Amino acid sequence: MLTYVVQRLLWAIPVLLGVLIAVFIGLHVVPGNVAQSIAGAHATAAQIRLLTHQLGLDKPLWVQFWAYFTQIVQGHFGTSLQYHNPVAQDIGQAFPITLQLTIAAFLIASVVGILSGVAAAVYRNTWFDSLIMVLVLIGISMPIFWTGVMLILAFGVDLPLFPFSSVLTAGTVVAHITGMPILDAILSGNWSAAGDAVGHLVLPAITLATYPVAFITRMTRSAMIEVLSQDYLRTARAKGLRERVVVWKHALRNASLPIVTVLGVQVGALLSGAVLTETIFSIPGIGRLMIQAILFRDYPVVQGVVILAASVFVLVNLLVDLLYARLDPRIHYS
Amino acid sequence: MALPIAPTPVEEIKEAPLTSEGLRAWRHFRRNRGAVVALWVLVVVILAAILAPLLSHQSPVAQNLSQALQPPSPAHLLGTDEYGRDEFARVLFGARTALETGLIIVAISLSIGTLWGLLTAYYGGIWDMVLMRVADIFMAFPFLLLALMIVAALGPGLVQAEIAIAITYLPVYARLVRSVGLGIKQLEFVQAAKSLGARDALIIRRHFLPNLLPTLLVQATLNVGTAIIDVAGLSFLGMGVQPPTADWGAMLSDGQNFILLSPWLVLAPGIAILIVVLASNLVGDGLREALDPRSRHQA
Repeated sequence: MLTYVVQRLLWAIPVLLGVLIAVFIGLHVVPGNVAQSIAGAHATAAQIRLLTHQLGLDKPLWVQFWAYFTQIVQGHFGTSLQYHNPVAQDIGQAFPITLQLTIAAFLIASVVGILSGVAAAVYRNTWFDSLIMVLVLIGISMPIFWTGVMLILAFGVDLPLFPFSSVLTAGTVVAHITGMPILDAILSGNWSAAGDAVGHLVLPAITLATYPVAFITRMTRSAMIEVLSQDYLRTARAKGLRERVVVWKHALRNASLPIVTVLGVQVGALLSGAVLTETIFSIPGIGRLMIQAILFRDYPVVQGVVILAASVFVLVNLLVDLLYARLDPRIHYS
Repeated sequence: MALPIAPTPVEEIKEAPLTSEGLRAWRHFRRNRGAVVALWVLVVVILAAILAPLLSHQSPVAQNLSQALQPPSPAHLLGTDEYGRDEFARVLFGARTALETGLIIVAISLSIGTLWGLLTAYYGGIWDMVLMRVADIFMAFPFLLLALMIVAALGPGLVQAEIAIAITYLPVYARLVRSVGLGIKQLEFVQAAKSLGARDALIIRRHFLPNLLPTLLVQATLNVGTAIIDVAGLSFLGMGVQPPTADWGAMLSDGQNFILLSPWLVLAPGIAILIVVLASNLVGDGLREALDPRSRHQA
């Protein structure tokens, strides 16, 4: 197992290196004159020359890459052109908020997706299964930004049950411990703020979870249908095991491999969806930070956010692979 | 040398079952009522997009501030937006933008991705190693963030958004083609054609592409829907289609600002996206069931 873990960890390194190269090419080489883009259409030639020199863009490409690479591996993402803060600081403030949102959405998606997928498979070809499959189809086809807007309309405006802007009501103060408002409020014993933060999280988390719920339900149903037809489950029933044990212990465990894979893949969908969700609900996470950075042509921030998101995604996939190996004894560790 | 006649028998053997399999798949597809209805819905949407100037006498871009934010009425079936533009006309013309972008993105990613996958599957070796590692790197990015990075580099706009989304789909096609292609490579008639000295281009054209077609058709149909959602997403963020062009994503984004006053501005484009994407997903699923007998058992 240890050899497998080490091998898999080592494999993540070239992928992350590739990510760094891709971001460098994407933001430094392809657009042509980066200084021109940053300075804007009305900048004079002298201003562009000065900016080119300040950004080091007049140096050979490999020198630029090496400077960029050494900075990134030391955790220096440069300075925001918009706020003049270190990029790491801006990301450090925004990332926990995105993390809170994605964790909430992931939990909703996993629990609801697996439960409904198992139920649809167990009651296959009944009206319940048909209903679940219609909902899955709608969930997969519905754009996340429309889901968010509809939820705001339904539960924020027409039936005002939940707040739909930002992460806390204006004026509510929470001690900064982890940067995640709910956790910080709980850790500091501020229960009213915790309730307020949970209320603010409901609509964004449901919005972000809609697509993964549908996808996980579909995959779980399909994996369970395949497993439920296996001979060893017939044997399990024949020896008198209760149906609940057959489904939840024997069948689900054997159907867990494709489900775990899908859960891992959905983390990428959640990180992508977070950008849209944060924009809809005015949540100051990394998605909104990135959109503002693009609009301001704040390349260091764009670069920092993309590298962070890709690194998180690579690490999650690494964890999924390790979990996969743990769940499936047929995978050889050497 | 038997080179000139070598491929002929192989083609004859392969073409007959392909035709009957195609007919069988079509018959199976026709039995799937949901997929057939969805196909008709798509046909209606395509016709509506083509005939948009005839179906609506209003311009989708002409502003009339005195008519701003009007509720639905016989004069404006879906009301008007904040600039007094007819929402029905914008939804109709938005169908053109959506379908065009969906098809362009799929065409770009399908052609380049297929070539990418074929190179890895057919030639293997260094091609496979290098190109698949590049695919791994592409797939290491959450797709919207990769698309946004590309838009950040190229600047916002419809063409840039199409390029960005198409790039994010490339590795999906490359991997798909590679996985199916590796199986095709092992088939006896391909080995026979190779050993008889048939040229690579001929083998790929006559044997790989026809066998890849069903898989690619399913993936492409499903991707038209996702491409429409993804470009609409970029437009929603202000990174895709720029004003005043009618686009469902941008219309939703603008409508969100008037959600209290004019909720129809977010309903109409959202329902339009949902209908088209739902239909393309149903057609894609129908095709998959029709072309892949294994998936029928799971449906």
